[in-house]
Amino acid sequence: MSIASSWEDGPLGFWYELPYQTQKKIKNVLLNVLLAIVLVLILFPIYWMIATSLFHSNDLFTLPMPLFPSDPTFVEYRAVLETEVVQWYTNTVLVSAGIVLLTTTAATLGGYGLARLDIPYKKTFARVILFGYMFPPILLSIPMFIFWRQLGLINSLPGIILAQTATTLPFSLWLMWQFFQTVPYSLEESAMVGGSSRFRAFVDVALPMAKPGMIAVAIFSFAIAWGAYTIPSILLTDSSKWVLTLGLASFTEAESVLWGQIMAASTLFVLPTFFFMYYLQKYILEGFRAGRI
Amino acid sequence: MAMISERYGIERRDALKVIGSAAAVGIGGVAGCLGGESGGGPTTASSSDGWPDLSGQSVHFITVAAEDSIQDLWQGVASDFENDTGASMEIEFVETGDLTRIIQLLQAGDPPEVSMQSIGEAYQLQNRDVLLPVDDEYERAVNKLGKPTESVKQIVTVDDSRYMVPLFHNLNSYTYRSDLSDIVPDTWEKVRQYAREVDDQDNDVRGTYVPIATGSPAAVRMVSWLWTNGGSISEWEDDTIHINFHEGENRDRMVEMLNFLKERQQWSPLGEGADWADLMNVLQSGTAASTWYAGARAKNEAIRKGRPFAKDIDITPGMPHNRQQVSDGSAEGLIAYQGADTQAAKTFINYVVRKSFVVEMLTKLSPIHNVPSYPEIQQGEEYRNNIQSLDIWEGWTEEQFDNYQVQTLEQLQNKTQETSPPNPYTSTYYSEPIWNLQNEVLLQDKDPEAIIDTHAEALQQIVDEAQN
Amino acid sequence: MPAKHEEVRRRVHPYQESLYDVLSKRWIFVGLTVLPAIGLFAFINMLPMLWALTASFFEIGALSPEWHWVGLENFRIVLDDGKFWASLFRSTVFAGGSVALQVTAGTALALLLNRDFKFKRVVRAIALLPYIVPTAVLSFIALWMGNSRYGIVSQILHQLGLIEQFIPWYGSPELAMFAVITTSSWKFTIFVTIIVLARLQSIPSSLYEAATVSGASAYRRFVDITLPNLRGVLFIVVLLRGVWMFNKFDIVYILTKGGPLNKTTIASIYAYRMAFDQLNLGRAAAVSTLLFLLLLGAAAVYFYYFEPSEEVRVE
Repeated sequence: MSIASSWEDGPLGFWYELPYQTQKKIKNVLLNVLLAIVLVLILFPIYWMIATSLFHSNDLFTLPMPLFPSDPTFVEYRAVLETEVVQWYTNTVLVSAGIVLLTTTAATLGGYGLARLDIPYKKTFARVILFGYMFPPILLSIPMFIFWRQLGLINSLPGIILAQTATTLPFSLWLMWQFFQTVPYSLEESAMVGGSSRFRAFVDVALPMAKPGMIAVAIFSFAIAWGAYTIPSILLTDSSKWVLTLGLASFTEAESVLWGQIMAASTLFVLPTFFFMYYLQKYILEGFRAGRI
Repeated sequence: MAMISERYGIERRDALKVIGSAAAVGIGGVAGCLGGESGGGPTTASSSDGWPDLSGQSVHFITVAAEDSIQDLWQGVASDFENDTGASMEIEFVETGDLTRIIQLLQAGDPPEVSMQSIGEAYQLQNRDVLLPVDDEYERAVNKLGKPTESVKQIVTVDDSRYMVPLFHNLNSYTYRSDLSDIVPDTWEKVRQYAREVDDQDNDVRGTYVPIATGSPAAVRMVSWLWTNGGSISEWEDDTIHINFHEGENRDRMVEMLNFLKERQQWSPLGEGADWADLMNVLQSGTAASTWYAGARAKNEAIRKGRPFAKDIDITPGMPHNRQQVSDGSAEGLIAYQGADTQAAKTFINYVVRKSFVVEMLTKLSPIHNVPSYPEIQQGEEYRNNIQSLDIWEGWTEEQFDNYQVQTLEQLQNKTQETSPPNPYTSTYYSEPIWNLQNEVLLQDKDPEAIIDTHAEALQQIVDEAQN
Repeated sequence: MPAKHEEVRRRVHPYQESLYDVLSKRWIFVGLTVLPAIGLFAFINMLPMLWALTASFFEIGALSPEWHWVGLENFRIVLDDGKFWASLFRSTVFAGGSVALQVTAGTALALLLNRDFKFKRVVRAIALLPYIVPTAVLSFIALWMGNSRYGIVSQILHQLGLIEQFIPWYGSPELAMFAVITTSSWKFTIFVTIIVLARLQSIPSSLYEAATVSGASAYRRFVDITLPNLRGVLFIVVLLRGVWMFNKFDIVYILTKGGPLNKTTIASIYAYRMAFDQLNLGRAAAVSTLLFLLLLGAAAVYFYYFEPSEEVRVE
């Protein structure tokens, strides 16, 4: 108590009498409580989605609504499975895979080129890339529809992959450009001195080192592709070509909303991504870690 | 309790089964209809079975159809059409009834052949000279489906040409629980009395419902109540539409109407953030005892949810009136586009507008809620039998059904029909000023007198833009 | 390394090697790497943008494909419209509020997750999950949970005795903006969390250990080690989130349709109504162009003042 400090004389003065280890433990517990609160905020909407999908439909729009489905029913899931949901699921997976592949390939090659090669105006271009996001997308639906229709890409999965890449490419390209700037060029140089061609040096030396960045780009583009709605709603008019988000919207019938079916379909939509986050988090964090940002 | 929702699931499955047979019936239906067709049909080049040979032509048809059963119905008729005419069909089901897809196609220079649209949208398209006259097709529809009511006859007629073949309507009326009070809320005064009486009762049910919405519920509500008070929104001034709800007697009518809404808030549960779904659910959930609605869904929803009072939900014939007995209602129908395959478009309209198909469609697309445009259809045995075999019929009485489908239809006046000739700009002017005027009164307690001019001016500006 | 390299080299087929040599020729290599990205960018990003930029100088009725040159007329009318400026102000509030919330909450969550605790992997998976929940799904859940009469959020608060009446989250003039910001931030905060958490993990723990040994408090360690390391990521995260939130349309429109009383009519909704309700594509394009120019200007200022690499060079 010999140290005069306004903090330690205050009502929390006892805190400083505690041993350091105890202080640390208490702090940790408090932080864990905070984390737990955040987790509840994150999980509750997801819980309510699942709970709603299991309620009997006449429990909905009643007051008070039960908090737990005490007598769960799978009627809504059965109703959902009678639609083209499997087809939509397949399409979503195919479209997402296509977008991830196209984005990662273009961004990796492009990012490498921008970082390594002596190309006029490349710096300007690299900065302009992010401007791709600055035009409000509301009106872009019309030119996209017109161009894609002329190219015969309406109702085609490659068409939607190409179009949706507009939303994933700029950031991905920019990220890979940043990424390659942190990969030392000297390793490639020494490979070339050792007789490798430039392309060999790229494939054998640079690419393996760029892996975390590529994974980050893949995950970023997957997150966008998986939930894409606006562009697919413009370019996919045939329900057999729909992705899941479009199918989901179709559970609103005229003015009524089939909440049970929407939530059942949403659950089928969201649950697998939990495992995605569970198994891939190491790569996600490794990927975004790298780069100069 | 569980049974009801099971039934809901089964309904969907049953619908799918029915479609299997419907496709077969569909072909039979067409065959039955062909005899009449080849006799009274046009003298264009016809194939042996009465329909012109449209090989190499295509029909792009757009309609709102969220339910599987409706989609299957359209798919069925489309493949019959392909078989009978050799044309190729492209059907597109859109999720909302707005013009977004049509705009994209028109901008791409590739309009569809036919689409199902509301009357307001049809006028918007006709204003821009995009539509094809369908007088012959309408005549044939009348031959096959019977005479429409006077109001329906006028639908989308501009300079003596007709641009829409109407099919069905949603009619504005007042839905209320008769088990809680003996008052029949068919006038404004009785609406008040009903609301006050039920609200005072010792239960959780509020007397009435005053939704506060952004968008179509607010716009439709405004017209519905204003007209029953003898007010109006617009008039022709020479060749242009002039907003007049803030002028002369109309001003008093509008102010009175807004105050009427305001007054009823005291007997209503919270109205903020309302959408059509809230209006539909407010009765079945036991939250309120009466509500205005654009159709019969509020009752149907209570039946589907198996509420014990579902059968006691009555519908007033038309809107509760104060000065004038009139009911605003929507009108949906088929329109065809210029610059598309016009022969194929007209043939397709002729092909689908026949009794068997229209009856089947109206049995599947929000049945009872959607009222056939042609009284003969609606009073015919086929339609009645179909309706009475539906699960929801359990909750209806003949009287309730007639109140809505027969008597309300007689009072129908579409929002465009406020002026004569009809106002072709209603869709454009159903916008911010209309819903903000109501919401400022309901949400912010503003005095209608003080804000009415600003909103009238704003609305006039929007209409002027649309008329240029 | 070289030995291993040789080994790899021997496995390659001679034809492949000569193919590689061809691919390594300067212009072919440039074409192979940069061209696909530039080509894609030009086609899928620039081309539709150019269409819209051009359209802003024409009068275009949505229902007919004819274009009439009107020069700057569209811009003049839009800039004259008080509703445009009001919507612009709301966009700024929406974007500003969203970015502030997402960056602080996202960074805080990343700091919370960057510690040792039990079930770390599951907890992190849960915490990162919202980012991958589709906006469409989130919108439906939010509408359902926030319903003014049946919403579970109000119900629980009511049952806990915290509120007397149900709250119309998306229907109240006072709350609607706050509600849409919070709802969209539930998902987009996690974008910040992922990027910040990744960066936090790359800060060598030896830095913290050294600081602790020399007696630095937790606060000093945060200010002297953590923050400077996060500077770069925060720079880019604020930029991206700012741009994305400023142009956001879908979730706000689904939740409120711009209401009540236009309280959430942000500029993108104003442009949407211009195009699809008032059917004036040219003017809607002019609104888009103005928003684009505004963001461009803001970004230029932002880069000029805050770009980290520039500052490093100065110091």
